[in-house]
Amino acid sequence: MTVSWPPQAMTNSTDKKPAGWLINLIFHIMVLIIILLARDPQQLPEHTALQKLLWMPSNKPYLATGAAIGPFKAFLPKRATVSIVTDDLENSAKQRELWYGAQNFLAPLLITKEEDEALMIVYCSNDAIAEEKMKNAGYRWFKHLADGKGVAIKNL
Amino acid sequence: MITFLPIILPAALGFLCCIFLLKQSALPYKNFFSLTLAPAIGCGIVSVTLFFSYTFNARQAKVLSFWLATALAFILGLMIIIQKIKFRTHPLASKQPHARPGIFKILTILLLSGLFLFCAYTYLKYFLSKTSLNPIGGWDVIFFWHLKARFFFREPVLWKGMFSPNLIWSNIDYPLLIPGIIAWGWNLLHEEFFTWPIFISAVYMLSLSLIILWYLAAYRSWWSALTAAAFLVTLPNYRFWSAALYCDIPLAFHITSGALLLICALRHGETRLFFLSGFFSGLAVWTKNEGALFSLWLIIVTLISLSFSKQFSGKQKIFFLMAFIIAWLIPASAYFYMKLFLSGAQTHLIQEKEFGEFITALSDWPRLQFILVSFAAHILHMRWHGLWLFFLAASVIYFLFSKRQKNDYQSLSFILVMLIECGYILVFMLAPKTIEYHIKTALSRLLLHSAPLALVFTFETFGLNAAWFPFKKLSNPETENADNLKTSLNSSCEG
Repeated sequence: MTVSWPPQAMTNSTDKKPAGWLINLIFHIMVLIIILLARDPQQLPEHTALQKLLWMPSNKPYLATGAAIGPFKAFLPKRATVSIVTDDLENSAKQRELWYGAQNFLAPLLITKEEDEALMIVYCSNDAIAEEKMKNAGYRWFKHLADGKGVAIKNL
Repeated sequence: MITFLPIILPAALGFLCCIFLLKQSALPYKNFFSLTLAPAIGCGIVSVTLFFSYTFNARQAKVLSFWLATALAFILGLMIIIQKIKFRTHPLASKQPHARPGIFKILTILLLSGLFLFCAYTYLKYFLSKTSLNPIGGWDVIFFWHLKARFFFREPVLWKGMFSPNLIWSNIDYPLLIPGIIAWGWNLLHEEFFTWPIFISAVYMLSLSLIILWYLAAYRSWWSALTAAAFLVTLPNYRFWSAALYCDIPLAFHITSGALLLICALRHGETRLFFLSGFFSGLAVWTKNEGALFSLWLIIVTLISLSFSKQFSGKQKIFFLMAFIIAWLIPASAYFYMKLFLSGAQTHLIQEKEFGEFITALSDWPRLQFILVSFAAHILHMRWHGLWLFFLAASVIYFLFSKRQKNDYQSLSFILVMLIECGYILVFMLAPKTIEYHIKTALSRLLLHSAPLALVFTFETFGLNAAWFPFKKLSNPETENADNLKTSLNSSCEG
């Protein structure tokens, strides 16, 4: 079921230069000039040492996404849903990034901002803010890791 | 180097698929086509295989997906050996004695090849500089695509956690082509290698430039092909977004491949090319939601093209359409299964509206004006190196001043570019998000999807042809006739 292509009508044309061949040639010359003159505005300096890391058979030189949440991992279950609380999760892009990073680091554990799970990741600036938020949501420290940071457990 | 090992099986699988499908095709330069596109085709296949392995047997999915892909490659290889399938040269091509090209042609093509290789080298240099500084990519990559891949990799039995409503912020209804490919590599390497997604991003970008190179070399000339491919890899927008590891480059590749193979299929009238076009279109659906919109346009264009075509019989048209739809359904079925049974329509690009609200939204002239001005500002930006202006000039020349031939289907690439952009304008009109925010975050990436087709249309319209230049003439009339094939196409674009 094959149709020969180009169609017969198209193969009858002559090999004489068509009227617009010069336009086409000029177009190609223009494009070649653009290519040769193109300077990427975002051209970056080369970092030889960093580039060498890309060829290493290991991830060791790199910090995993959400690695800041690493110390919490030992006190959290592998399969569950936990809550998270920070200073201002709703309005701060940086703190949302922390939440998303934590999700990346701890997956398949699920993290929610709803404060109704048995365990809660607390990642606040200091203990005063953390304890106020824990008190309002009905949590207490399960493992206090640093100033304003730790894992909280829901009050029964 | 260990990072590159997981590409071996997909590349072999993609290559065997091409050999098997194109065994009796008249497609020009099909060896080149198969070799260069094999990794991207294979990656698409393994992503779909991996998804269904997880769906039906999550516990054994890692092993199952590997053995399914291996078995598929083995079966294809076996079928090729048993049937002693070899590439059969097209009857027309077989009559052509090898023309000895003149010194002018050899020199110019060597020069342009050198230019293309140099541009590809500068692209890779930029790519490595940027990815070495930021190996994990941009926001969407870290928090959407890699997160889903982690669910696949870390605990296969809990992979459906990626669809949890708790992760609504990660766009849980996004298709899973790229997470599937990333998980494939991680599964084989037993580690979440940062470098594997980086490698995949470079593969898709180079595949995109190579399919344009192949198409223009096949239907115009090597001059136009090499110039266009060099131009593409020089474009700052493509360099930036491929180094940011975004899925828009793989989507652009699938859109371009699907559209160009449809044009080839209509030109040659081959069922297998309709099959390949449908498969690429399905992979576009499986890459991003925007791919579903493109698929809709491509199916409409296919239906209209076949309906109005007089070169095929009714039976042939049905065969072509069936081949297209069956191939499209292979990856698209994964998309629909995910949407219907796993994610649901959790995130909405378009608000659900009553008919009256729909009309009101569409007749919001200030919003439309803002969108159109934003489009104009983006396409005129220096980061496109004038591509869209060239496209505009090519459109004017093609539609107003050229003698268009029947059945060359060149206009399909123009039509698809316009349909894709009109679709995006429609989405912007109906989108629930603030229009300024939406345009700021998405428009430059959306233009990446159709720009390769715009580039192809431009270079087809302004294509150079071997017959116009002082080559060594051949005395064989059949060869002269064969040389004229490309001339006839080019002359169709001339005033």
